[in-house]
Amino acid sequence: MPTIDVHKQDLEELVGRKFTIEELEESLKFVKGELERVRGHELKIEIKSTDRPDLWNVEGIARALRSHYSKNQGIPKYNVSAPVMTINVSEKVKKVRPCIAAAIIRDIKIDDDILKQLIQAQEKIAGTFGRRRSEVAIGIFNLDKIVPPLLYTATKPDGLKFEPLDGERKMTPAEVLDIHPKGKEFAHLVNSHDVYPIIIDGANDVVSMPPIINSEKSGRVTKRSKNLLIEVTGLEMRNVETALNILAMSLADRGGKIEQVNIVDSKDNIIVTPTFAVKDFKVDKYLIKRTFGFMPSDKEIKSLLERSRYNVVSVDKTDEGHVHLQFPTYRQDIMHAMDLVEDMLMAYGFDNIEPHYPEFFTQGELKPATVRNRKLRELMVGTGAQEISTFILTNKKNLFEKMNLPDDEIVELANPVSSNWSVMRSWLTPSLVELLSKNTNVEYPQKIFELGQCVKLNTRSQVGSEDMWKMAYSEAGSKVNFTHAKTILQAYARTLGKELKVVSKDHPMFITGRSGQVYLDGTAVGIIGELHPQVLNNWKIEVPVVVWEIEIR
Amino acid sequence: MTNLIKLAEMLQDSEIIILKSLAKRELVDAHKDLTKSEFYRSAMYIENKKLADIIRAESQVVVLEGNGKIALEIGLPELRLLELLRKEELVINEAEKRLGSDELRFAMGYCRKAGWITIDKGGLKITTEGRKIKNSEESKLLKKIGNGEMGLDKLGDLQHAYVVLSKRKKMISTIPRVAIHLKGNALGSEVLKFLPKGKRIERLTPAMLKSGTWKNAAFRRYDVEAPVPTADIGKKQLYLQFLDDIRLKMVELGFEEMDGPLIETQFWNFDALYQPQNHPARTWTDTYHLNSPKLGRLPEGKIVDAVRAAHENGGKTGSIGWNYSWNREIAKQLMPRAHTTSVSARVMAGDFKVPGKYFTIGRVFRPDVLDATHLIEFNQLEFMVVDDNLNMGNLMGVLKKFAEEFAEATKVRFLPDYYPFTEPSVQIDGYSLELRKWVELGGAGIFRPEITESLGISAPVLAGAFGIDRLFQKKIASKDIRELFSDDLDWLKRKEVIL
Repeated sequence: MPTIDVHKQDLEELVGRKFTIEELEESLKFVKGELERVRGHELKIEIKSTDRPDLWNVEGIARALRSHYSKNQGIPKYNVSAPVMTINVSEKVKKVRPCIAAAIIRDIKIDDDILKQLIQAQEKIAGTFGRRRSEVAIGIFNLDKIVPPLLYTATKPDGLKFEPLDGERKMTPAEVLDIHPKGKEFAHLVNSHDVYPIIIDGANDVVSMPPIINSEKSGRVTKRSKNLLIEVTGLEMRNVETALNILAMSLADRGGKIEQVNIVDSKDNIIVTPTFAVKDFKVDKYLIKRTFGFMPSDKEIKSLLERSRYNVVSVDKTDEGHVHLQFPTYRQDIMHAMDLVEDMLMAYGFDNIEPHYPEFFTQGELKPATVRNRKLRELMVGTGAQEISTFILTNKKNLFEKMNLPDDEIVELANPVSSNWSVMRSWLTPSLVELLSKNTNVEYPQKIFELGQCVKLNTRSQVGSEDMWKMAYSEAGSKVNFTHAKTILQAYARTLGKELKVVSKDHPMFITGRSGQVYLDGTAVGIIGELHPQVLNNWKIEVPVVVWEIEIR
Repeated sequence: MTNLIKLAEMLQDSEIIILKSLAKRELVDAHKDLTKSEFYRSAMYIENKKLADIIRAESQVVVLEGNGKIALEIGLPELRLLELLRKEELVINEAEKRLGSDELRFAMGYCRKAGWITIDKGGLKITTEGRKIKNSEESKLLKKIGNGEMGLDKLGDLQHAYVVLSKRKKMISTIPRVAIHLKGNALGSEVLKFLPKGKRIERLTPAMLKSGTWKNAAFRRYDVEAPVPTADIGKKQLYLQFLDDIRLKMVELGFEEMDGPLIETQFWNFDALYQPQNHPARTWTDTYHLNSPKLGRLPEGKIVDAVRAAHENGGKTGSIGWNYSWNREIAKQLMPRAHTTSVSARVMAGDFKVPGKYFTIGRVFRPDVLDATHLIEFNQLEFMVVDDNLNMGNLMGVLKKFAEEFAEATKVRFLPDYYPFTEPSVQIDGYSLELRKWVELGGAGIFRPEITESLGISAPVLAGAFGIDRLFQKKIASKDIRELFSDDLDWLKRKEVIL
């Protein structure tokens, strides 16, 4: 979730109103925000809308709040002046990073707050919305150091040398990727191509090497910069334009004047950015009524939408009709009428809605397996054993090697975080033995059991695997022997009215001659035996251990 | 007076023996008529009754370790090597066969240093000096310790041997031993005057019951206030017990339990829940993928087409969709489920009753590092409530009910929230009087129409999850979430049950 550093006074000036901390907490509900930390005037605000990059800076938060405290409602309006600057886009860059959009901001007074917010917005938007710059990367430049027109093209790795920001000397693009910290961090975004994206100005100087780094010459924005160029590159035009709109609006909110830029491709197709286009949308009034639990008046519907920064075109008179509205195109999160209904509910205030538990009657019921499992566990508790609960994730070494068994095919993760947790267990005994191995300092005898889930491969299943419930019991202690295990197993079987038969069968994890296959009512369901000394050694257990494990069907 | 009579009636025979002796002299660590354990046990009982004073004196004793015990039986390796070489010269290989490699390596070094043998081109030969050696100080010490123990003050002239053996691997070890000096006191001699006359019954036997001899005898009085040993009883695992309780409460509230597989296709884990295929949550770093099995099968029928349409252009759900080309092969990929919402999706696609209330508690898996605040797998309480006209107030009502039932929350608040599967979405906080702050309890919303409409459901479905792990931690005042899956047997046995 994006967390935004905000200076309280800055926010207040942008909204046009002072807030106490309590008022601020209350009003942040309009933007799904929570005050994470307050240190004097320095606020940390967590914005939970991961789908609303337009709220990820102080200007965006203020823009959303303004409409609730003033008549500045509906879609925010921005004046733009016609393009003077042109960016030519070469065919060469189409395969690498095809999209570019740009805006010029004139007459902006840059102070510390603006600079901080600008850097923060750039990071959050390119980092989160732009997927670590792969989808969207942003460059901001001192316009007065740039000679128009610009060319967005691609260059060979050993092409044009330039001094990257904080690079201290001229480098080739390949050197930037090798040496510069930003180059190293983002090299993977371009180095699979044989050419790298580059922006060059009219004097043939490199302006930027998107999505990696700006040039030192024009890419250093300071308090003395008055006119800015914002350039956004990426893979999809709608994302690129959304990012550009958010930054342009934010600087305009601070008094900057937006000037458009011509983007011209090799076939002389011209598009102009930024535009503040709107989309028409219809919301079923019935959906509003159903979700609110009542039908707000037409006037209230209009007001709720305008406070949420939508333009209302018209509201049909009848309850079966629609609300016709418009939203700005950068609101990519809007896909369904329900998205607008939620915004209306937030504007209405969740606190103004009475919680009401649905009264209709339904018969509660547990799954038969849940009921069965509970009874089986209670039965085992009656034997005096301690129940344990362990992870389903484990590793092959525990499941096989340490149990003296050959590897088997099981459900295996492709991207485990740790090799300790890299497969789903196919049986329980290793989980029990592992627990015993961690408790060799605890008083013996130890008696434990687990009823737990295991997973085995099954190609006939829709999910390539099958979950199983298994019950395992283990007893450890210097005087423990096979009879102890069989006694408990017998008590278990008898209590369930099942006939137990143990048929002698050797098994590599047990002492030869001290293990067998377990049959309940004639069906083979598991194994029982005394662990082989080698297995005990593997687990560093210094007393005899007996176990049984059966599948519950 | 009565106290002294009661005390006297409690005394066991062994205690009386000791008390009688103490009237004459002090006892140190033993009594000729009692076994060692009888003596210690009785001494403790006497002390508890304040009938004698015990002074515990700590001393050091030497005992044999594993290798020491072997050496006591078959001789120290260096002496055994000399014994072999006395008869004939040996090559190292041969000596190794007879002595064992570990022993030989040590014995060779030891004997050569002492000048007892020579080693020349792999041949071992005893020296004249060596021939004189029949016994060693170390071997004498071993014999002196024997299979019992020996006070460190009784080493005598074997001091040097003690130092040498202490340095050798697993030969001897020195451990503290507490000796008991028992001293009589006034109460102890006084109580002897009140000893009951006649035979006293220690244990009631079937024979006594049959013959009726108990009628003419007195029972020894027990000290029922005395401490007893702790017993371990069988117990359910604490967290599983807690989950049992939650399940029962959900049933009481009219919820029907659902279940689903641990391994899921991405289709049920993501696609059916309208999570776009290029979403960061679906990447390698945020979601587990499988090496085996890799691909599952998609459900038959219209569901897949409806889900595809919802993603690509909204289909018939009233949405404009994500606007990309949906890929079946990605949807087939298998993963350990990342949430139990996959179970809800399957249930909605299956035999879904409207109106209805559903829940599940199941294991889910996230790529995380195990520490005090993160688990690699945990349990989720997931629920759905569906009816034709459920609204925002109902959603908040369900959450409030859960907060009251499960977290005993008296004061709650609702915050707008974002969850990828629901719109609107709301988080519920409960005010914690202990922590004096709001604590997040759960979150819920109305399933996005892109999800429900694709599965053929037009009624609003309230859906959410409740943080049962944190609730449990609060109940047992746990600061380490790993205690949910504790592998500490002592902790599991001793931790008190939640009532």
